[in-house]
Amino acid sequence: MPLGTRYDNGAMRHRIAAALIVCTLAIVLACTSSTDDAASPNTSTNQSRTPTPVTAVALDLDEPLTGVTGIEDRSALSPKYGDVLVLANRSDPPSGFDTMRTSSIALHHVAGALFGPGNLVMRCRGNLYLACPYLATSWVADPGFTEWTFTLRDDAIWHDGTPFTPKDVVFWFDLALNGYHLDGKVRAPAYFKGDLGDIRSVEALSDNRVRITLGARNKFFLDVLANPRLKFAHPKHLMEPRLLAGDMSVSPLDIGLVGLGPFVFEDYQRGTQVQVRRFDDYFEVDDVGNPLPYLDGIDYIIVKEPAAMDAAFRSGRLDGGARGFGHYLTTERKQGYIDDLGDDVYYAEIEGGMFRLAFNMLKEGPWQDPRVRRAIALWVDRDASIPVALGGFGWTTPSLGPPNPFKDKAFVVWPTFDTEPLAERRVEAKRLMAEAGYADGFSMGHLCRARQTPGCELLQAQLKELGVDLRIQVIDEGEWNRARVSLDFDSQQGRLSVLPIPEGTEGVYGVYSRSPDSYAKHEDPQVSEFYRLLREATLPERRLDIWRRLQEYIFVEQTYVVTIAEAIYVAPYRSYVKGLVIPPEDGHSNTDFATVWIDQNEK
Amino acid sequence: MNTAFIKRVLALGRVRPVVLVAAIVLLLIVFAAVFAGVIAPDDPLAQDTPHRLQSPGDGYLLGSDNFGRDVFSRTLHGGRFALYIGLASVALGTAIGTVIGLASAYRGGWLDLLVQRVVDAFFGFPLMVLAVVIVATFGGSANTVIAAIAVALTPQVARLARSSALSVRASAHILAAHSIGASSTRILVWHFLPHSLGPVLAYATGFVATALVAEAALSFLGLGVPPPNPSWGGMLSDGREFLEVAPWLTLVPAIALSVTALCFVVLGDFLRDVLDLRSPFKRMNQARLRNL
Repeated sequence: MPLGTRYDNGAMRHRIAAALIVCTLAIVLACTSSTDDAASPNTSTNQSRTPTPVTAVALDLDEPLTGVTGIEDRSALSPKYGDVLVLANRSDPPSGFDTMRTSSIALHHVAGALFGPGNLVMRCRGNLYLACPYLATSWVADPGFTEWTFTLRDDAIWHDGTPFTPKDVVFWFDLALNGYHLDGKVRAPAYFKGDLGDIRSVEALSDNRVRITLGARNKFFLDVLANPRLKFAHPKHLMEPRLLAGDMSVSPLDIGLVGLGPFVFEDYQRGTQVQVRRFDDYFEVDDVGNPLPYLDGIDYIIVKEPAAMDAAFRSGRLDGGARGFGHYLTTERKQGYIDDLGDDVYYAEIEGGMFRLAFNMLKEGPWQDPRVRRAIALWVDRDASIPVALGGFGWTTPSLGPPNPFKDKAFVVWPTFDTEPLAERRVEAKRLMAEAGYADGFSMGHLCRARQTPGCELLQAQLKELGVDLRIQVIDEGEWNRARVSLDFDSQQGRLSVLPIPEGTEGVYGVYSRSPDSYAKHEDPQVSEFYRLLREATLPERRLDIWRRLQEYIFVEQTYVVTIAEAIYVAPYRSYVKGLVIPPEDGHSNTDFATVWIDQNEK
Repeated sequence: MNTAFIKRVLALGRVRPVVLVAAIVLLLIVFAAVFAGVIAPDDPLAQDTPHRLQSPGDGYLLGSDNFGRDVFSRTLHGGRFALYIGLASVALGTAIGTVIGLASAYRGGWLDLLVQRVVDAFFGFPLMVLAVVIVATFGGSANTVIAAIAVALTPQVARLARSSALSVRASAHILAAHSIGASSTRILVWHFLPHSLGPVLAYATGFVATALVAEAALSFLGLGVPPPNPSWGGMLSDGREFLEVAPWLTLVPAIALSVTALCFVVLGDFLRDVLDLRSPFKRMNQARLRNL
């Protein structure tokens, strides 16, 4: 208002009255609209705290699925369609988005949308512990469970329009298992080669069938294959010419991130964001036959600093938080969300990985003595680790393993090792150290991932009282990926995550020569024998028994790995983000976001 | 204590009160750091996890951190690390830079040309980039951080020492020294060095503040003093996550770092004014101090 201007009081009153009437009408209209939408069957129930997981895909193998394509106006099908989801991502996806090179969640949070939630099979959205069809519609195993024949779906196409064929499957397995060799140049196999087990051959039988032959019986091969880290990001028709040209380091990023997932690559600005947009020819449909995905796209904003992510989320610039240790909420950070946003946010709680200490058994040192390893395991105060090292979300019980409220399979009900009170355990630890000749302690290096230094500091302080001088070697992410598979350390934390099935753990507990990425580096044939027995087991009881014996052997008898506590990962999402299928464990699962939609009425 | 000295100090306080305050505060900080082992109420590494994130005064003078460690004790011991690294790196960088600069100025010719081009090359790298490269290559430790900061400081001091020395190279007293057969070492030490020492010392004192901040930055990035040893930068980094619920974790080391760095900056400025021949304040200050 310019200085000196005077308002007529009567005119002002009229304007205010008119504005009030308009506002009242707008509110009434908005409420009416909201009530109508609330009655819609497509609107899910309140998800403010504990959203009900949505089983978005009900696959009926008797009726082959056909993708719904060429739809101009998807909003006519369902109000779920439209809008762009904005998520934080922990950092730039590393290794050129190559799923064969890293299991980093910074990649897999994005890769699920681009490359899909699985490979031939996927973890079922409704039940993580079951394998569901994905690129294969059906499969059959021979009676010995060594030959697995998959029938591929006929409507899967790469994002560049090329049909997905059995040759792509053969190429992918070959690349993962053997790498590539050309004129003396070598491309290394995938890091998860050990997880896949002993695969003898992969053959294309016809236009839509593939046979995988295993070297040993494995009744649970599908569970191994359903690992969400095993994504098809390597189309033969694009990768092979580059390899033949001698480009052994070619990555999915180099070929334009062409995948089979629900979203197609749009843009990538290093350090800023990754944008993906809906793939209109995607083959999955929801439970009423509408095509997935619902969203127009996803913007992954790269936010390396958790505090910056919190600020962005709380100021309304993010719809969901990043996945990944460091970015998952701590109790203190979550309280800030609750104070600011109240019920406008719900929190995905995902059983996380294990906080542990693993020994390098292939290097000389006092830890070669099993009594020393056992003493360290007995000494650690596991309860103290949860608030300090796991951000306050996690659990440990008098038992070695936690009573996971999520898991529903018998084999994951952990045995109860080391149930004695801490004071008693520590007396025994001291005795074992003295018996092993290390009453005065010793010094041991500890490889420590930079983002997990609190855990290392905690262990260092605790083990000091036992006489063990834990020398922390803090290394950044790049060095971590190299060092953890090397033998240049005394002990290390290991990766955080483990697979939810026993057979899938050989990659992290198995012998070094077979699984370089294993936590504890050892060549113990007894461990391999346990895994062989596991693969050959036919009865669930037998499988459970072997798994428990294996755990007892690794964690107690030999103590190659000291298990300390299990984390719970907490990720925030705005309450208007619907249809999110929160995995009970393993934050790498369900990162395709195909079933996610945004409730415009709540936004 | 010498009465004349006290008088001069008091007079300095009247003339430059900020400098006096800075000097006193810095003395206190150095004292606290040196005697941290005696003053600190707790072991800076001792964890007490049941009492984590206690607020100041609640059994802990300046609160406790995520591990239940005493923040006051860690700040004192962190100050010891900070001052050790700051002073040692500056002393090392100053010594090496001065020798290189004086030798370069004295010898001239191809040696001077070569040294100055190398110095130019080093000037191309910002302090933090150079330090990060060195620490990332050789691993994080107090000595590596000292070396990294010293390497960054050396070319700056070399350039400064050289420029000061060049102004006297053709002086009559240098020619006289040459004519009576004085050795190169003698000329460097007795004629070049005193002339360069003033500006170099003034610059070096101010650079301690830069070194402190650089050390803190490296520790903040996880490249400095390895955990669990306390460092102000590391404490700042650790406190970020608890900024809302435990702001003292960040505030205490931040204040300690800021105050210490400020004191060195003020003292550096004062020394420059007093020692630098080109300073317009030098004559005035000297006259005022002489009359006290």
